[in-house]
Amino acid sequence: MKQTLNSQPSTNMPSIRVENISKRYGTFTALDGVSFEVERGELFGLIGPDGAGKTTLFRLLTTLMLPDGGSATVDGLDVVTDYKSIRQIVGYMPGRFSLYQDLSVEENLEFFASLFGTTIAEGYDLIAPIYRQIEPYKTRRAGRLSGGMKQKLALSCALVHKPRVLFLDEPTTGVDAVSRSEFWDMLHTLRQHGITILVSTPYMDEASRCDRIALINEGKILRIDTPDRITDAGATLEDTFIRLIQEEYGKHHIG
Amino acid sequence: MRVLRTLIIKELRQFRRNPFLPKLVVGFPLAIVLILPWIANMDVKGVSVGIVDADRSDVSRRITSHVEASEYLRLHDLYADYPSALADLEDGHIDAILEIPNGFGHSFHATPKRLSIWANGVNAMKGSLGSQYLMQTVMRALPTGSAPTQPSFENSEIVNSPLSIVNYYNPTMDYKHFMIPALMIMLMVMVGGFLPALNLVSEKELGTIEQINVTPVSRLTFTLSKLIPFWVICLLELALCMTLALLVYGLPVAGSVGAIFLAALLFIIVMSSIGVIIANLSDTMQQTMFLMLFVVLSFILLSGLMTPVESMPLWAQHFTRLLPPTYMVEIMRAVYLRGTTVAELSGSYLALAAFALTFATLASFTYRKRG
Repeated sequence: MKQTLNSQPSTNMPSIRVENISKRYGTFTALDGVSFEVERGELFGLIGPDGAGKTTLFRLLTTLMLPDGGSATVDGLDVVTDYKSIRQIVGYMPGRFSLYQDLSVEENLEFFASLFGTTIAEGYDLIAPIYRQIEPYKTRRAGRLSGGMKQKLALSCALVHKPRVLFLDEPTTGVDAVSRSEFWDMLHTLRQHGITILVSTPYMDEASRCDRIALINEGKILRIDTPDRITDAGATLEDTFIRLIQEEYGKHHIG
Repeated sequence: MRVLRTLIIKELRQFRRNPFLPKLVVGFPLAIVLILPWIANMDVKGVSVGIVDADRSDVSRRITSHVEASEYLRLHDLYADYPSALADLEDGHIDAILEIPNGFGHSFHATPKRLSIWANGVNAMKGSLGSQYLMQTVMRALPTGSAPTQPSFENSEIVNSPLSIVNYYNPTMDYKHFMIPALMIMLMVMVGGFLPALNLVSEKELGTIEQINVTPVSRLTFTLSKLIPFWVICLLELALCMTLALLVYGLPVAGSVGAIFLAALLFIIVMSSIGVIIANLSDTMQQTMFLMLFVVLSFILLSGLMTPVESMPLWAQHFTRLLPPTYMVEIMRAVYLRGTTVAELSGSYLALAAFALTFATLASFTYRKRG
């Protein structure tokens, strides 16, 4: 019953739903009652400084970690109980390059395709705009690629099984400005394929390229809206963010 | 199965490209058979002897030439008096002193004078065996049948009864034959336990496990893909070691080769399960190295591989029954040297099988994919 539901998710159901989720590491609270929803085919940005809880949220949603409280669904599947099904339909690109450096570009891609029971050829349409750029170097070991090329390979590997939801944890950290801009162009292309994308970044300038963003700090979401509406009139997003953090900080310490 | 195949192909590719592993895997069995048996050797040879010959008779010269000719003894020097010989003993130049008193040769038929042997007992084994060898050599040098009374030694008694000693199972009393089957266990510990543990934890350290964990690959499949290549390598290397032992030392398996491989298979499962447990409990290669080293060292020292279990204190002997390699050492030596059958060793085989089951179960419990 569940399986049939999964294969044909209702169209008005949010692609990602997070409800009051929290996670602690010992005494440190990484996530404190976080809630948000991401629509199907939306490019949703998580914007926040280092240590805000972005990676923890990704690890919870990709079923690598269990929440301490609250619940979350990905494509209608519960992250705690339906983790096996979730792993079939999501693509994840961790913040740290985690492909096999001693395998070649093609071998890495082939390997991940095969783990999902598919082939490069089957997934080629989707990854072509990205993979074509690194295809000339397909016999090169992944460890010898430049930062931008590594990022493209990682994205290809996360996409080769045609996931419905794509999780990108700080994909542009440590990548040059030109490659970063190209990368966001690629994300827009992917969105046209109906893939939901949750992307995190510490860079404010990238936030404007998302459909909606959530500002996150110290495990709490400060505001969720489109980049234009979130920004105070006459100020930059960065200024707005800092004002919101200070407001939150004041509330915390007065009340 | 298809996923397992993909994972194993990936492992083999990585193995081939590793700058260090292929060399280790080739070099290790060669070292085990060709080099280690010569080093891990308890035979006492080349005991350095100083002779104080105050007699200078035919008899003393014959004793000296016998010492020179012995393959266990090496004549370091002749000394004029005992103090100068003792000085050399203290400096470690010689291991034992043989003093032949003045008039020993002449007084031989009348009232015998006493020969004296002093041995350095710091290395207890070399000291006691060395003085025994020296005594035997002297005995052979003395004219047989001419002595109505045995020459007596000052420090010890000598029994020269007409005994005939035959060593069964290792007829030449070659210590190498005793060590080779046990050293093969070292190979299984290294290739079957140490290497897969390091390989597993390296995925954690490099972060590649993150990417694997979000795929539908099950933990069991992933772990098996890490173990199977090393199991195959380990069994092939065992066959190589056995062939080399036959060709180089003329040491065949007295029992059945199948019995050896059955034991090896069980033991490899034990070792790799221990490796998996340790890898699951640690986050870095360094932690794994230290934990594995601790386990391996206690295994080697307590299993009877190097020192006989019988000479350990009683409490330690009981403790060795809790260690899997103890049974493996028993099986390997019994099957290899004595030709004991699986049925006769059923207790040890069952113990190994029980260990394999226990550790494999523990290994599967220690894995948590989600923190």
